[in-house]
Amino acid sequence: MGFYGSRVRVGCGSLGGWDAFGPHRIVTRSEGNVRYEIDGEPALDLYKRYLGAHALGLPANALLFPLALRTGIDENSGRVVFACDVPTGAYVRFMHANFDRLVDGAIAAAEVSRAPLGAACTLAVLISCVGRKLVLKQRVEEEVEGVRDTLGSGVTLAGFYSYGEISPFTPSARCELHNQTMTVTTFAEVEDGA
Amino acid sequence: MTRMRHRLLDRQLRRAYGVDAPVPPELEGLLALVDQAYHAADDERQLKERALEVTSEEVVDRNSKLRALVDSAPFLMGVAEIRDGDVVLVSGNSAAAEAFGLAPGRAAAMRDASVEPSVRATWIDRCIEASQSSVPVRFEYETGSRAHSATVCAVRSWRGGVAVCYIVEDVTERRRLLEQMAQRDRLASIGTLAAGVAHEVNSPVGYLLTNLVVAMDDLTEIARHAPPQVARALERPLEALRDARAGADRVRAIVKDLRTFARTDAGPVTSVDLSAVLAFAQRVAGVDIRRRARLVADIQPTPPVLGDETRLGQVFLNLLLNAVAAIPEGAPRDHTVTITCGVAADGRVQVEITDTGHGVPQAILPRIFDPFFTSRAREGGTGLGLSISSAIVRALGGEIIVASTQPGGGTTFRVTLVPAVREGPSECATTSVPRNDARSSVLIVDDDPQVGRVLSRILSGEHKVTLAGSGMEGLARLRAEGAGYDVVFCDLRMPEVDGRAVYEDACRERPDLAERFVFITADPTDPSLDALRASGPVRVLAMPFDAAALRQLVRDRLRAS
Repeated sequence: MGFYGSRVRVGCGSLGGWDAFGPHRIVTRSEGNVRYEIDGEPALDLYKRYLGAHALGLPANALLFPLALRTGIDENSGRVVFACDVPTGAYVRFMHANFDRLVDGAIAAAEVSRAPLGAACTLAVLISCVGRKLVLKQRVEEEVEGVRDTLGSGVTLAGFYSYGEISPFTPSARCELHNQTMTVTTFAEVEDGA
Repeated sequence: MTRMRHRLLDRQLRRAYGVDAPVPPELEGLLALVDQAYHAADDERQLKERALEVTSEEVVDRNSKLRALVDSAPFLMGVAEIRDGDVVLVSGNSAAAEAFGLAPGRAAAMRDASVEPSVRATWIDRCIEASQSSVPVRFEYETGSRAHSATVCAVRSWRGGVAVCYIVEDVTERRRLLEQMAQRDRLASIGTLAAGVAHEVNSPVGYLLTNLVVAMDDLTEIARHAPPQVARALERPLEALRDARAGADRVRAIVKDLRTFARTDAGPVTSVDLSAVLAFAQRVAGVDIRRRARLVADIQPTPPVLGDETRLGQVFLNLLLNAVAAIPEGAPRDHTVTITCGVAADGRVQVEITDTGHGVPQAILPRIFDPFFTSRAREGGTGLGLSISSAIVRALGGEIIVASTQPGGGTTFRVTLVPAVREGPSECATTSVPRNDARSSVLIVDDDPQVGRVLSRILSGEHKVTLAGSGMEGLARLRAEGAGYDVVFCDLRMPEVDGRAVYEDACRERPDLAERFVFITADPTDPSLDALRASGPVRVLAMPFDAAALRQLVRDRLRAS
């Protein structure tokens, strides 16, 4: 499916809503997107320690504590991104779900995507990470409701749960692969000459 | 997996509908969802609680490891913040806390730190400089008798302001080592210079002395047969010559000691007469000893020991100088330095050097043989003497120990050495077979005409002397009339055909010539002598030589044949 024409406007937003916690860790061995060792300890052992009884649900349950990759040395200005490939030597931190912030994140993504449209949004495609569904459980619908409340009841919503989202965080940023986000793409048709 | 209904939900239902009352069927769907949500919330809470616990453990563990690391570092380390132009020490490892007098975990302004005011100013200036720079700033300072080297660098993204990291090392020892190494270099170059001078002076002193002896002998002879006036007239020049000879003898003794002392290479291990070595050490150290103490020597005859004369001389000289250094100045009558030498019960040779000085403190006793360890750094001690001595003696199979020491009561060092097994015929072996015809034929092979002439002057009165000015000429004469020479004096170092070549060529044709050879050398440790000794006993005439000894050597040689 494609849209074209001078009157079509597209907006996008992608936000997570997870909180980093615990010590900074160094990925001591990795190949591609597989982390073998963190701080010299097998990554699996580290996850088992944190998950306790939930370790039985590995590897899916690893999504309960996703890793935040710290880019850049300076923590104050360094962005936290969800990435697939984590090179050896990278600094990472565990994240945990903050229910309110997950829902707020979805709402904020919707707001960011709507801002540049300049007209009422008519269609929004919502792509949410399956990891969010895993922790939000029954409350997962709150993120969709939050998006609907933000974009208005006249908007047609479509979407699915994903294993990774490709989008800029904000319209001006570079397009990247994310995990654990709600990614919203909005479409609007403006009046002639607008 | 089906779970039991959540206990809280169960209780709520009992409270609402009674203990045994059934739950309305239309609520079953809703209750299932509520039950799920209760369970999910519980799981979520447990997970968070666990994560909090595990992560706290991790943080505590990392924190304590980091603190252990920083606290065990052998230098001061910490962070200082720059606040209003002052330096505030906000953290420091235990060494830093102790050095600066900081309370644990408390920030303290530099002005409260226990460093001298002048040092504080330097600290503040350098820290401010480092906080504005991308490269570390280094500076050195002193407190009391200790020297410190500090490095400060800016800490990036320090929460709470502008900060620098500081590391301070105590460099007192390092500085001392560097100074000692510089002094060692100076001593080494003085040693090389001394050896060079001694070598150059050696030969001229040899001619001087021998010619003086020849002149004196001749004048004495003339005076004996001359009329009384002439004899009286000769008294003054003879006296002048005697004085000159005494002076030349002293120069020779000094040169010999200088050569022994300056030589750094180890000579061959041979059998050494300890009494000569001890006499050398006493002679060299004598002046120093007499300034502070009386010297008492009790040298019993001992078998020769296994060793290297030069190196053993160095060992005893060292021990004597150490003994002197232990004795305070100003009371030479109240102090003694005693040398005893004798054979121990186990057959080994023992030398003890005892002083009546201040003794070695127990605390430093285990370290006195360590290289660079010295208690006399201020007096220019290098801390090498005892370590070198100990290494030399150990290499010879012996040992040096502190036999006794008492605070204020003096110290005894004991050197134990292994007796040498007697070698084959010794170099000055004599037999008692007399020989009637004392006048014999002597060949002198030496490229230095002065040496040849001196030898000739001394010997020509008693013997028929032939001079050969090169190894080639000497060899030619030996080939032609070898049997005719009773003694062959041969210089070891000559251009083209050297002493060893003359000896080996001549002996190949006439093996009986071997025992008639006497090698002339200025260096009795010349390695080519070792090669010659390997094939049999070798006689050596060391320069400068003594006329009487030379004559005796020839007489002995003639009696032997």
